[in-house]
Amino acid sequence: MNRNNKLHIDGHKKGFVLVLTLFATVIMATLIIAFINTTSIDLNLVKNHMCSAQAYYIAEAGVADAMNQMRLNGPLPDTQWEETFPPNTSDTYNVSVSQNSTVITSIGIASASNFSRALEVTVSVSSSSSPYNVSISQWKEVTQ
Amino acid sequence: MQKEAKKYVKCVRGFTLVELILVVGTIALVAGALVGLVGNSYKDFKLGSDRSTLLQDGQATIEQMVRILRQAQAFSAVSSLNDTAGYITFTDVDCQSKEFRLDNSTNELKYGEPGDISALTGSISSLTFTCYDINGDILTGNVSVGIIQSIGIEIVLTDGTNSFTLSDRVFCPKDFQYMAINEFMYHPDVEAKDEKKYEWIELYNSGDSAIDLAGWTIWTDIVENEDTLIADPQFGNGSTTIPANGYAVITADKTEVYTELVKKGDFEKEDKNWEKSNWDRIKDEANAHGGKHYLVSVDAGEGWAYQDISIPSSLNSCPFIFWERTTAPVGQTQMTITIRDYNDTVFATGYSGQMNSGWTCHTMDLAAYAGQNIRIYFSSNKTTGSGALLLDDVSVASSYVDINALRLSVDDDKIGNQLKNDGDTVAITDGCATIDSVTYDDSWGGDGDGTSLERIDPEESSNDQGNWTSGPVNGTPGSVN
Repeated sequence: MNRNNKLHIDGHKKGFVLVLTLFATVIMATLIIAFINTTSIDLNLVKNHMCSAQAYYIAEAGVADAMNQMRLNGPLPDTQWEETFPPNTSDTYNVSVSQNSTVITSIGIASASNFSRALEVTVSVSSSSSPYNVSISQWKEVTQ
Repeated sequence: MQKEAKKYVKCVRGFTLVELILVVGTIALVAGALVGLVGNSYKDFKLGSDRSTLLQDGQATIEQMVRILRQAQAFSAVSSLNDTAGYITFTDVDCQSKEFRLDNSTNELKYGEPGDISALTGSISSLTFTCYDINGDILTGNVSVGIIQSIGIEIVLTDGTNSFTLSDRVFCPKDFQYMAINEFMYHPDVEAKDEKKYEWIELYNSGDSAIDLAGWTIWTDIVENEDTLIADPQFGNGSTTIPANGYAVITADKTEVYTELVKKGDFEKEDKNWEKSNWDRIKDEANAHGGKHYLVSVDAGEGWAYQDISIPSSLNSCPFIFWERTTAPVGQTQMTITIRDYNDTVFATGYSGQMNSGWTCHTMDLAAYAGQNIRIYFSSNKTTGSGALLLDDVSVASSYVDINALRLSVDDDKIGNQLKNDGDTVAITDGCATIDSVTYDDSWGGDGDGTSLERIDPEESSNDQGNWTSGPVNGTPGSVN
């Protein structure tokens, strides 16, 4: 009787191992694919972050350019210009000055990735003659 | 028994060879594929991790540099436009001299006091500065740091596998002073022991605003030789403000650049060279204009004081300066200063009017009387018995310094540590930042033949030999080069 029971149980064990093996294989494969997928996403994220940072600092350069011009000329009329930065590259910033020279909007564009970021800076221009004093009162990033 | 044993063996026989081959083969195939994928994925993971580290290094570098340079008080030196081993030396917000410099051998950006810099971040293979003036024009060649208004920064980060560039531009809001060391006499054509008495330094304010030089300093050789600029107590009019597009001439105490023609004009030791009526010398340190003595008229009625002097025939200017004040009620005093010959024939009137309640300086150029003997004549009239008229620090100085130049001095018998004949460094500071400096060499000109060393363009670099040349004999202190 005991032997018959043992034979019955052994027969079930064989199937269990097979299922367990398949299950473990599926789990491992899933984990590995997830790892591969995550790695791929991370790589893209870092790449995007790099391009985004490049665009941000180019936008900052546009703000500095606008303030440099206000330093010389005082308040500027509503105007807009585009400049390559650094010089002799294809990266550009697009600057617009509005609201009686108090708001500078600068969009930095990293040409290789075509990433862009925009800054909106509120400034005040004082003194009556050149060189004018230009100071920042608000600095924020905006969506385009 | 045998039959039962056979049945048992059949039940525990395990896998067939075919099954094992299939299973092992399948696992091998799957594992092989996964190992390849995992290997590639690990490479991507490493790539992403390295890039992320580089990016963080780059952002930290740019943001640190921008934050510090935005608050710079002045710049001292910067690498030229296309130099990828960039450096910049400047005065920081705490008036300390600091430097960013790329160490090409280690790819480290170093920061600290010049000569004592340490690594800030690594993985930087190139650092380039682009300087802009107020017109937004890029400064090329040997950059004149005094006119920098904003600075472009470009860094290339690399770790051997990855490489990328970050660029930014910093607007420097400090109200930089447009003050240039414009000309100086470092090797006068006199005996060596007298040289320091004949040395002078001219400053030029190329900006559009007047600048008060109170608190500014000048040094030669090393900063420890620093002297504070003061209004020239003998030949100046009390002002330390240099007008827009104006000149200032700095001399030491006891200078011979100005030849004093009035004897005992400060009334400190005696007044025997003065002829006078109703005016007397008095010791009263509390009320004197410098020193302890002055000339005073107390009694009501008219009075006069004069001195005869000879104006040399060769000079550029001959400033006549005196200080007056009164303690009498307003409207009760009158002073007239006239220039006469020795026979009291009046040539000109220098001042005529009420005296002032506070020490007031009056100036007049007597260069028109070069080669003549003249009398400087003070006449007064006090219509009240109360109060007094005071006169002090009367000076007539012949000089080749332009009459319109601001006259400054240092409280020392030499400027800094005296200007060396074979080359030296001269610098001016606003009390914090170095505004301009020049390290000259005697091969630049002005070397002992009576000529000065002149700067050709005050807005171009002060340390470019090509921007300096020998001036005329005696130079052109106080006027355009």
